[in-house]
Amino acid sequence: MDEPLVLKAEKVTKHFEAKTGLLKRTVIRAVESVDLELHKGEILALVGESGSGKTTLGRVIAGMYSSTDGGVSYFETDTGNAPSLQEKSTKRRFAAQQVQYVFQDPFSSLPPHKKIKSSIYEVLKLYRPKADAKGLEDETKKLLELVGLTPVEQMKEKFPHELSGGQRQRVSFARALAVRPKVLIADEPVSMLDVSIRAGILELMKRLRDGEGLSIIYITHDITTARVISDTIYVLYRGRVVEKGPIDTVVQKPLHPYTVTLISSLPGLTLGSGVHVPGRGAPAAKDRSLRSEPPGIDHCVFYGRCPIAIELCARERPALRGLADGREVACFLAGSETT
Amino acid sequence: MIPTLEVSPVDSLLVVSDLSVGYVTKNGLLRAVNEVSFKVSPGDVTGIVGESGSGKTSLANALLALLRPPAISKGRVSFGERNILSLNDDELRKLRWKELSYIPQGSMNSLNPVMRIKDQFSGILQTHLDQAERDRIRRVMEDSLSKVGLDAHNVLDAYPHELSGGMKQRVIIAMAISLGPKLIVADEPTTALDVVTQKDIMTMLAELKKQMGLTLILISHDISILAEICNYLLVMYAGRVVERGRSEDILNSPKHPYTSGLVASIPRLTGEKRVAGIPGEPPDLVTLPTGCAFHPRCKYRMTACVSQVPSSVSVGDEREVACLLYR
Repeated sequence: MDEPLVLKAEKVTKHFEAKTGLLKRTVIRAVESVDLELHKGEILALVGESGSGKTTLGRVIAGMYSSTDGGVSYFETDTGNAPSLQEKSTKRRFAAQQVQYVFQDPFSSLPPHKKIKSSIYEVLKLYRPKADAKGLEDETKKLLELVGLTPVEQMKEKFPHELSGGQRQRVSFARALAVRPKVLIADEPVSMLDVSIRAGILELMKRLRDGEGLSIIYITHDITTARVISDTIYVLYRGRVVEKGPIDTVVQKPLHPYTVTLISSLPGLTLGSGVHVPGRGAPAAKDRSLRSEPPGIDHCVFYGRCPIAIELCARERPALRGLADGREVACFLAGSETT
Repeated sequence: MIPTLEVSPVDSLLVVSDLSVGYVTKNGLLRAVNEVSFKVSPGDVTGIVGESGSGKTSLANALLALLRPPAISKGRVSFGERNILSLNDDELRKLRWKELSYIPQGSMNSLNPVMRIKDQFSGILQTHLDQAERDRIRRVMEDSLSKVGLDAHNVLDAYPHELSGGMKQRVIIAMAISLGPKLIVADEPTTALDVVTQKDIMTMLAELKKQMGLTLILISHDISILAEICNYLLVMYAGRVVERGRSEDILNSPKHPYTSGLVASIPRLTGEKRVAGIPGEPPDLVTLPTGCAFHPRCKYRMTACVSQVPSSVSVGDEREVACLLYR
């Protein structure tokens, strides 16, 4: 990518402590040492199953969680480590201006008692204290127009319950854009919507990238919608990146056995021809636990489920390594039979 | 393999004729299902597909006589000799789970959070098994759980929050099959699950269908998932069946413009990077558009579509479509 970097995550790690008994606590390792680079105008897909850590990573990048280790730089500025309280609040606000988050569930992420226009107006007011009311109202209308909520004059007077899921999701995008962020993190923005309505939201994300030069991190478990709009893909498993690269390269020929599993789980109709999926139709492995393993065990994260694991995989954790086609993959075997 | 009985196609398990469901609202009558008729033969897997608000769930509720006021229904749902809509509560209780099971939408969240799995599961069995069979309860639970690929020893003593979404869905399916029903109706059985679990559940349903000779009705908004295991599809729009036929026929050459839209909105891994979608929004069921309810969103709209409700016409073997383009 020739475009400049807008953000860079380095060795981002996020652990949660969970109470598992009266005195017992377990550490849940949601994200483990993830490096990520996002360029201007890039749509990056974070793909993985429930529990793979994709939402946690998104929230660390958005500054909603502080990272346990590692950090995220937005250009020059770093919000990684825990600063003092005062610093923290300014950094939180700084991160919010850089990165905005669109949530999965459009049915619960909008204030139900506010008209659409006021839920956007209030965000504008918060971030542009000096602008006058007229200017903010005009900008509210412009935002609604931008996300395709037309006719604007009618739409702005509605309450969330009067809108369909797709329309509410558009309001969420308008609210996020009101802050004028450089990066949008869209967390499963279409998974609650009908298949026939999804296309419109995906088109909207593409348009925001093309028209407004936004960079978007698209979090999803659905590799097919990711392919339609994204440039780059990061596949996450148990908090680690197992494969990343240009999306067409990875989707046309997945190399990590987990990426293969994800693609071979898709309904046959969506696959089409020309996709090379080794072992499609093979029985899925039994070990479905996404619980993180105790510290100190150094084997491949996918070892328990992997159909092609070798003895080395139980002893050593494969690091991401670059291949000639521009992707990186964390598997000892990947690429060996292809080169 | 147990040889299956030869069943002639006229011996339908379920016959739905002119079924309508409405809800009395303060704005008027909301017509959720409009004069729907179809038949299900033993061993069929019938898919009902449509967007939110097309009446799929109301239809399922009517099939199982689960509607309560302000809902009103009209028509006939024949299950064997009986009309389900005219059974009393006692007769219905005997029918449900034992002959007819329902897996409602979001059913994995319908498990009681403060009861262990074994306590809620055995409740169903206690209602339906005779005194003499009660000692079988534990075994029936273990058998059903192992059929859905769960380890009964771990699951029976667990509370719902200790299980993953996929496991909870499997528990519900185990309950649904435990008494060997003739028909199972599943409403969006995989919607909240991620792709890998979704595939597992669908594969499992197909496997159970083969093993137990189940007849299934599956409801979803995602035609690509239904295409995996259904042999028949009914496409619903605004409470009406707009197209029906064998799934491969419908997917290979959709006739109704709405069906074409649904098929085109499936994102694919190869080919052009475009998802088509269907412009506009599903209609308000209280103030339905005149004529064909799809006309405001249809790119083939003709003048007649605005005034005339299209009736179903046959367009091939076991294939019907309700669209004026095919008069």
